Amino acid sequence: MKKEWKHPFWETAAKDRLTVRLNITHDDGSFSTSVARVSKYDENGKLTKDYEEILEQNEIKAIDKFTEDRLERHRQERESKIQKEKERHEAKRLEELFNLKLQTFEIPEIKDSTNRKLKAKIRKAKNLVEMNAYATILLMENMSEQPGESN
Amino acid sequence: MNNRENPTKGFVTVATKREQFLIGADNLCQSILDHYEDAKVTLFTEQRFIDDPNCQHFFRDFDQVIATPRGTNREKMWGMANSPYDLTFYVDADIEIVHSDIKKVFNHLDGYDMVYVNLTKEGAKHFAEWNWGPNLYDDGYKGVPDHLTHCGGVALYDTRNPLIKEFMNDWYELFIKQRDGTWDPIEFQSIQKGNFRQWDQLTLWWLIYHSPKYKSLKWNFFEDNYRWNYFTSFGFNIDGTHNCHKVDPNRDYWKTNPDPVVIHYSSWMDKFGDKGFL
Repeated sequence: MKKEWKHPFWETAAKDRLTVRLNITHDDGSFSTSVARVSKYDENGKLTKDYEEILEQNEIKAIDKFTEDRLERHRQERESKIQKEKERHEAKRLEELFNLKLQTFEIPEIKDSTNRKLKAKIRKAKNLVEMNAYATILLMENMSEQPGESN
Repeated sequence: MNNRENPTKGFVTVATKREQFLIGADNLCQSILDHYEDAKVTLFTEQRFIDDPNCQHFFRDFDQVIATPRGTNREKMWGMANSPYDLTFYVDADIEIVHSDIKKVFNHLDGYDMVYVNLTKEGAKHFAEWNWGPNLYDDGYKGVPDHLTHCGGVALYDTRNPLIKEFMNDWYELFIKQRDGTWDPIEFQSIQKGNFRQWDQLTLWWLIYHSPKYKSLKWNFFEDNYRWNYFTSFGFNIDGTHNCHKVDPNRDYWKTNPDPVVIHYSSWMDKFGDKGFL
């Protein structure tokens, strides 16, 4: 039986436990692979056999580097995921804002208004507050033009 | 009249089936006029909408409103074929214009008969279906690519070449036959995955790359490609920037000109289940 300990990294800052891929080629030629967790010390405080085997096949420096690289990769993946989620959220917000603008343009007083300048401002509004503000100005303008309806 | 030197220019959009699409088309027209106040915009829609008193307000700012012969969700190609302008920029009704560069759109023809937005490999994940084989344009493949390359969401074309009107008409007629299953050319036989035959983009691919009749047509892609059809699914960044650099890394227009002219609110229409492409 041949055991290969691949890609070990420290699980803890104290460097007393490793996670490692264990590939075994059995005597009958079959192959198996698994992820193993290996403690540095046994219950009597002595180095474990598996740990010693890992160090025979992997330098401590390489384990440290792989651990650091892995942490950095995970940090970048987390950041990228957060960024993507923010962007997805922003795209959804703008889709919803677009839909709300179309609804706003269906309000009869806005629909019938010929005030292109204010309607353009509604269309270009960056958020709901800005859109509502311009829609309100347009509605107020419309009301002030209707005698007897301003009060 | 000699239209060679002073061609008429205008925009065309099509809204059929649902009043919701008229709302979109009206908004598109208004957004063009926001940035290009002399623009001519023609709407193609169903006669029943043209006759409906409740729909009249949608038509106020269009240059012309023309009835389509049928009420399918692909009357767009008929509208494209029957543009009243020499130079036409066709735009889907779920699009909004957000940049004053729209005034310069017709300059992009620059001697070509048609100009399209190129559907890139990096943008492919945003499309329902894109490729059916390994030969990709973005990988440098020089033959007929195994994927949809030309986006029909917007199209810039010059009908002073009479073949263009025939091209658009064939696109319309062949797509209807393709969807009905009565037209399945030999070049489609290699497409064994997906539901490509449901897309008018596949008809466009065939006409561009395989139709002997249209070999002489000169077509091009917009140099500042996705500025002319920026799908909302490409993303809007918190700082107000866009992601042309991510979906179009092989071009470099986004280094100097990153802001889209055309925003395509693809999921807005998709929720009704009638979306053509995305």
